[in-house]
Amino acid sequence: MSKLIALMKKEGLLFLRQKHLFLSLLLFSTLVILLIYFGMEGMGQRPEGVVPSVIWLAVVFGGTLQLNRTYDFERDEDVLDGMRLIEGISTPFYLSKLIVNLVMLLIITAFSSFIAALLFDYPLFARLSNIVWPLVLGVVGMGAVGTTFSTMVMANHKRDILLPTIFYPLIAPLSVAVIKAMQVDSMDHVTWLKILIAFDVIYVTASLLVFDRMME
Amino acid sequence: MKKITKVWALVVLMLVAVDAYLIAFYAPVEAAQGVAQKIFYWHVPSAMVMMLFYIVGGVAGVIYLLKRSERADLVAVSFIEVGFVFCSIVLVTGPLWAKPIWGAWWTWEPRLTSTLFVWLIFFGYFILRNSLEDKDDARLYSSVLALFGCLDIPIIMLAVKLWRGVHPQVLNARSNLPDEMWLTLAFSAVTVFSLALLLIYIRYKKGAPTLYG
Amino acid sequence: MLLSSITKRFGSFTALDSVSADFKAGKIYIFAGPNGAGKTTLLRIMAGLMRPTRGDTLNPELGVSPRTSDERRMGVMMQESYLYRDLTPKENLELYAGLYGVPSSRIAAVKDLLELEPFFDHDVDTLSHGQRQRVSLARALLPGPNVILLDEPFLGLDSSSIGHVQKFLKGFKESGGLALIATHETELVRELADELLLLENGKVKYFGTFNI
Repeated sequence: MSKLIALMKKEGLLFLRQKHLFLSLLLFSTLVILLIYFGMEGMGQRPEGVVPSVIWLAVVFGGTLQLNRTYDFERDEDVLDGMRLIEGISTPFYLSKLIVNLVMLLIITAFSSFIAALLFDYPLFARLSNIVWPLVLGVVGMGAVGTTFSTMVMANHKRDILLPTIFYPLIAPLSVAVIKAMQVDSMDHVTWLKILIAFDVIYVTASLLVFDRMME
Repeated sequence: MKKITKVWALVVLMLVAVDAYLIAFYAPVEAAQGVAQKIFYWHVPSAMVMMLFYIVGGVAGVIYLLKRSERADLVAVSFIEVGFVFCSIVLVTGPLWAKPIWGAWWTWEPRLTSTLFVWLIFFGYFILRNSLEDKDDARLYSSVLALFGCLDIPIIMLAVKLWRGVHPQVLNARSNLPDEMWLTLAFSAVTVFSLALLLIYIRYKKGAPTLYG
Repeated sequence: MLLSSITKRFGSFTALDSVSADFKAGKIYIFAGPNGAGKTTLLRIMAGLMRPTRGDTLNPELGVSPRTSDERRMGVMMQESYLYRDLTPKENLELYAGLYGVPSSRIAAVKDLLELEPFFDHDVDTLSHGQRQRVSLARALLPGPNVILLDEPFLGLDSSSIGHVQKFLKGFKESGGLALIATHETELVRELADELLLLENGKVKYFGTFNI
């Protein structure tokens, strides 16, 4: 636990040094939403039901950029080897990276929700209870898988292409669940939430188990 | 090619020949769907092979993760590669079956959609394996990916079923199949499995010389 | 510390071939040999960063090769500093102290030992190579190890930093520590070194008294 605290402190310091990069990510998500809005030109009245999907797409694309950045600071000076020298480092290290990514993703989600609600004239607060849990659960699943896979491609030159290629197929069904959960009410909504929870449990548990092996 | 491979290949060839005969002439033409329905004799066993082989591959991958046995990894990649071939066969025969019957190549039918997701996941498996220069890393990470993929399979199937509604009543419930169809299906299954196992054997033998330690 | 038939292969290339050796406390051992002889690979295996294809490293006090160098009570300083470039030496050492579970008094101790005060609050990015290596050594010493592994510690260092490292090594040896140093610069360690392990093409060519 104390290791996790030390690592989180480090992540906090690093974030403060690079906050401008994070602002660019928020801008990127805004641009994605704008592009989708323009892409729907000719549709006439843009249906309200499409907004949750727009939010999720902005989160996926902006989130991919964030996930690719996970190890940016560890790449120089072989810092990861320095970490590997320490007993019992894998789980706290994975958790520290996961927490950072989840926080970033959630901020991107909240921000994208506001922007999408603004541009599409969507009653965000009225619909909040319907969309908040699917988005949060979706982010958890995406964060868990994304952090793990980001570790795999970290050293590779082509990681910008590689990460989405291996990681999008795994979050495609997750995305179906997120969007369906946001669109339907009552009983079906709960069913989809259960499916999301199942995805999350599998992804987080599997990630924790394999991360130890990956650090070796 | 070694002797056993030649003999086996010959057996498979004979099975395919008999199977083709059975499918073409022995199995009756289904009333509603016509000749197109006969694709099902290879479509269904291919799906079974795909499912089974992915699971075996995933398990072998876990053994590699636990024991660092390169033999286990070779088993894993052999099963996943052949499984992928049959997965592709399912995705090709599916639309071929669908087009004459429903008029569209792709209808987002639940099982085919799930298969598509699974195909994409394991396509990533090969991309990952080939992109990493360090071969130990390649084996390690692709085993992790295979694990995620296999764990996902049941949930994907459930989610997609819920999303699209149930598999259309193409089979009219298993018990209603006439005997000739059952027999043909069973024989086709044997044929497909024999072919699949042959491919595994060839793939494993191809990779075996690189094993060391 | 004992090496027992350490072998390491990368595909068809054999980096180390049945390397065995016995290292005693209170001595400094130099690993020498041409480039590609396997010195760095051997150190990495001893540090727990790499698994040997065959063979074992043993620490008689702790039993058969526990995995991490932390468990083996080792300090490791490789050619990469393992420091976050965007943080200061102070922040880096605080991080590692937290990870090793050592009190902050250790940070002050290593800081004084290697005289890091002048640049303690400057981003690692801005430091010279020599300064960075000294901070890396400080990091390695945080857990108070009695075995240290150094890979080319003198490479690219200015004379002041070289002096610091030499002074530290002398004190370390006198207090009973075991140091294993891979280096080309054998003149710099002539006064301190006790024994030499000469590697060539992954095999031990010589292991005995240092008298170059």
